[in-house]
Amino acid sequence: MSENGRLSAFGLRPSEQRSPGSPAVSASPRPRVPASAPLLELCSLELKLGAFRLGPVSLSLAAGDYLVLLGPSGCGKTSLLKAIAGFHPTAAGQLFVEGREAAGLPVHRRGIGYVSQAADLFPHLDVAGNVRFGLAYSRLSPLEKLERFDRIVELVGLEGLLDREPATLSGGEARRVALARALAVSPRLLLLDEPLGMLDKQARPEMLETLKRLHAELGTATVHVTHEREEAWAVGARAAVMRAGRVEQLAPVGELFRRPATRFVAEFLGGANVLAARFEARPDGGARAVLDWGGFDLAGAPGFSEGWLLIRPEHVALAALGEKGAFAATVRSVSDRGSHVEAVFEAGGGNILRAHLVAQDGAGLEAGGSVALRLTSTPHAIAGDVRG
Amino acid sequence: MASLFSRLGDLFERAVANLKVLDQALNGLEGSYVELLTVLALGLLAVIPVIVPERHRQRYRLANQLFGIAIFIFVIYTCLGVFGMIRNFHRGLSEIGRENIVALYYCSVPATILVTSMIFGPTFCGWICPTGALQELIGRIFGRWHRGRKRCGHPFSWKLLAMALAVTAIFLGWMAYLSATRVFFVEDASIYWSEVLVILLLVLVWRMGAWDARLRRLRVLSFAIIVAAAIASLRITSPVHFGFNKVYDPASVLATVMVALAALVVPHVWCRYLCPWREAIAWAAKHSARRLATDPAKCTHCGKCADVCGVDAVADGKVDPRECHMCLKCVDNCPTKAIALKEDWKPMP
Amino acid sequence: MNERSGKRLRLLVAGALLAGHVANYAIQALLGHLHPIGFLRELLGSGKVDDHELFQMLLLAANLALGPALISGRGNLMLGAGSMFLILAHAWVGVRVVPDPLTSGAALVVNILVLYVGTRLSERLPAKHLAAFAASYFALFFIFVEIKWGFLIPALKGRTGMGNAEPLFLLFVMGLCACARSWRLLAWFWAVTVSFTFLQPYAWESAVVLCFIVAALFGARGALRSPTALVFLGVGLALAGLVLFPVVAAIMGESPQNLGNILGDERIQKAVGRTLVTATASTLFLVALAVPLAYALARLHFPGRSLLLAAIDVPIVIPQSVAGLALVRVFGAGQPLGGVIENVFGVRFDGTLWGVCLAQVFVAMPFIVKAALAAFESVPVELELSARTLGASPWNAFRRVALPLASRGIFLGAVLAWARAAGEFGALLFIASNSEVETAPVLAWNLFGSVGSAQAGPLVAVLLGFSLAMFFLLQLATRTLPRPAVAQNADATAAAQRAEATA
Repeated sequence: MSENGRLSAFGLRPSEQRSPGSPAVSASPRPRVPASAPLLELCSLELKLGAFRLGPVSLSLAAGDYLVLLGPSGCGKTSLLKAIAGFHPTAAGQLFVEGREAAGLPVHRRGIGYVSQAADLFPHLDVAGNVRFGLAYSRLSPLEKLERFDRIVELVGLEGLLDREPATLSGGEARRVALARALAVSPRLLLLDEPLGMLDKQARPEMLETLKRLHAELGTATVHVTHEREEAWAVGARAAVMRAGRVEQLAPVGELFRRPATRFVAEFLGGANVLAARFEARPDGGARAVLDWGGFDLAGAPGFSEGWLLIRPEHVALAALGEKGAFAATVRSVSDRGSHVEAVFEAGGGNILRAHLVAQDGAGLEAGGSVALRLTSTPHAIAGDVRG
Repeated sequence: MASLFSRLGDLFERAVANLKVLDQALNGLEGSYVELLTVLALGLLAVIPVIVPERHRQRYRLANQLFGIAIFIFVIYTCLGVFGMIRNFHRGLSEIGRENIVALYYCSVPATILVTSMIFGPTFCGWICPTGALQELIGRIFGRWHRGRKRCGHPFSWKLLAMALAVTAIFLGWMAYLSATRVFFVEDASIYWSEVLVILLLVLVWRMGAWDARLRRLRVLSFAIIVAAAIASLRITSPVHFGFNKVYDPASVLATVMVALAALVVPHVWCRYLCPWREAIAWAAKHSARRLATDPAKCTHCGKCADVCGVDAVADGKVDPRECHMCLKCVDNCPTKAIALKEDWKPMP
Repeated sequence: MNERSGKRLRLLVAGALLAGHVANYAIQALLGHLHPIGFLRELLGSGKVDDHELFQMLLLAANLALGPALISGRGNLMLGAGSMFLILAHAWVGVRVVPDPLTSGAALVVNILVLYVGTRLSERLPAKHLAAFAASYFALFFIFVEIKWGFLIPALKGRTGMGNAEPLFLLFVMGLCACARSWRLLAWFWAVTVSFTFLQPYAWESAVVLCFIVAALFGARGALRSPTALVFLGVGLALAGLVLFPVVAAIMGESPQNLGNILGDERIQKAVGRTLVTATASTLFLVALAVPLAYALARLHFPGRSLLLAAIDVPIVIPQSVAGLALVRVFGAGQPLGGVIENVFGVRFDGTLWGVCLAQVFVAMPFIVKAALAAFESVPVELELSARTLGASPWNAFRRVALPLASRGIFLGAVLAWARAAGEFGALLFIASNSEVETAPVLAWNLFGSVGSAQAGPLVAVLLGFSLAMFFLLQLATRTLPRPAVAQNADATAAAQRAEATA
């Protein structure tokens, strides 16, 4: 499948930045399901689990979408997933599946597949029995059930495992069986809870490939919960970053990376320099970020006067002294990473600036030396309380 | 016909009675400690295999076996064949503290055999056991039946099959005759043992060496049956039992005949597949201090040891202590002296 | 130099012993105890010889062969000299201590064996082994000889029924020689020896129990190589032995013929058959009701749950006689509830098989409910939820996931309940003990009351063997049922640890 086709299969849409909590409106590019209503819609959904309160969360998912729910451990991702599956009752808000209120539906009528973190295979059945389990309740004819079974087994690649007992499977195999079991009943929506968790490093890329292939072939709308941001890059088109029971930002993964909405998102996605800054309007209609040790032009008016400035390390480069936009810095440390040189600079006022330099630039640097730096791309402004 | 048999029986009985010349002199139950003689005789077992000149060791062994037959027939009454030995061991152990002399009378032989096996290996089997000696003598005399064969069992041949079937027919005919003419010994399970031997013979004719290893597990079953019978105080007589007992015992004769016949086809058939004592001795000798050890550096894998072994206990120079009879043929026939008797006194597990 | 001094030592020791033996023989001949000339004449003549003379001659010949061999440098000096010394000693004192030359000869063989084993132990093994060997030797001496003769402690003399035990001492010393090399074998040896000397009326029974204990102690393996755990195992095994012993004794104490006769008795056949039928019926009834109850208890929290859990144990807590009385008071004929049931359904409880089943259900209930509850609690809720997401209704999730996974535990509970029902006695005495409906345990009591314990013994053995056989058979059958979901989770945890380690 071509790259474009794959993107469209993942339901990638033009980037759209939103303030946290506002519902995402999505339009499916694949006319599989009547596109009148989104497949899944959460409207200010709230959960109460003992002392922990989750939400309100608003989300929507179109048929064929692949959404990654990203967040640190304990942020409520799994609870949200279980609420969608129907394991937890909701406290407030609405949950629509294909336009119908689903909160009152029992688990087995929701048509939502769920693969838990521990795979939860039935230990008394062999692999074939596990995969076949749900087919008993589908409305397919026996012949269709057989075909469905064979198709799923082939797709997930379980041919050699069918008569194995679950206890003898490796972590990756067990996860694949659980996936096949959930997909065999053709769920409207598939919920994956940390599908790569508890797998060893070798098994992860393989599992990711399986997930991508299955989504491309079957087009099942999927919500994939993880705390590893690399997974989001690898598999998801869109991702929602959660924090303490709320969605901080929902956007295509590239945008999350480049244009995070909050400081938390920027720091959770990692690697970037996040520096406190003031923003001033420029006479020409643009804006300028002012830091202790310099100022940078921004692409457009941020609409706020104080906040954070995101400078990606790969956007920092050496400059000739006196070049326009150049600023002085001291080299703190240099380490060669092969593909690039990672350098830590101290710009004025004790601000630390991490940079990824091309190898030939970084070769001449020594700790303690003074250099001139410039930015190769306009930095991104993030709203937020600087003093806090 | 019937009178002929009963007359033969009488004749046999009288002959046996006359053979026991030492009957009165060595009556163990009357306070003379005759059974201690077994301690003496079997104590010698520990020494004989190592002190006789190596050049003629097999000849000395034959002499010792003949001596063993004599000893068991003339002196040791308590043994009563391998089954009787287990039964009496059970009885003797129960008598300790009540009738110590009776206990000694019944325990001395089995205890001595087990103890020598635990220290000096299964020397009893190869050097003194009368049943084993009987089979070996038959093997010696009718050696050509065994020739051309490295492992147990022959390749399939119609001649052999016909012979086995004929033996079975004769046996079954005799059984039918016996059961028609007299009240049969119900408890006399030797009949069943002989039957097993017959079946074994047939199996061996057909399946030959392929089942050798599996059939050897019958020994465990045999041991279990005999022990259970001993506890339930059932009398099961064994082959060669009639030689020890003055009771006219056709079942035992029959079993002996069967053992002898089967030994024509398979060397040491009784020891391999059925002997319950062999199982006990194998257990006792598993970690014996004196054992056969192979020096792998000297072994040329010529296969001579496997050729000469009567019980297929040696394979590629390695001696299997579960099957070995300590006849030392492999030691004497090894061209490089790779197999040797060793004393191994390291701590046991 | 060293070699020469070694040779001199050999010459000195072996020569002295040889000379000593020859001198002993000569002195005895001079004193008229021995007649070598007459002996030889008889040997060559009639062939009939005095065994005392023969024995002395053989001993002399043995030393005459051993001595020169030792002097010429063959053999182990310690072993050889020791053997020569023993032979000399037997020639000197032999007949004065033991009754006849044959016994003396046997004692000589055993003594040489002891010397040989002792030498080897001291040469090749840690000193502990030799010490244990010596200690065991003296213990055997004490048991078989000292208690009768009172050599060392005269007060002990004659304090035992072990008459004529000296030759047995020889046999047991031989056994000790065979077992001295290994602690495990030594333990087996002592288990058997203690059983057959001190515990003689119950020798076989105690041998079974002691051997079981020895096998367990010496077979014990564990990741934590802790002596404490081993000591605890020993203590626990002592307790187990206390329980096992009467059981083993009751079964092994009866002769098989008696057991066969007992089984042929019609009254007993009927009682056993009745026990089978009622216990099975009661168990089926219990399973049908206890499984739903246990599932509900495992999956729901409701007011009064802990009270209910405690109440389930009541039949275990209260005395069986009280249970029987309570049942009679409620269900008995003429009692309010029992009367209503009799009038409406025509079912009468006291003195009928219905009553037997009622009492069995009453006492067996806790076992199956507890077992089924534990079984359902061991089935993770997540598995049932997974089944639900696959489209299974709550009933189907129970039927296809929870029930199969709990079946092993339920079955084990049913086995226990069956055993309890089949063995019920106390409550039955009150509600149904007449001979028309007596079950096997009640029959044992009735027999004991009428003919005494000796006659009831075989029945007891049969009942015991029968219940134990049933119990173990059912336990075996349980192995075919699915295991609870532990292995898989362990696997997942291991994978997680691996993932963490690589990260």
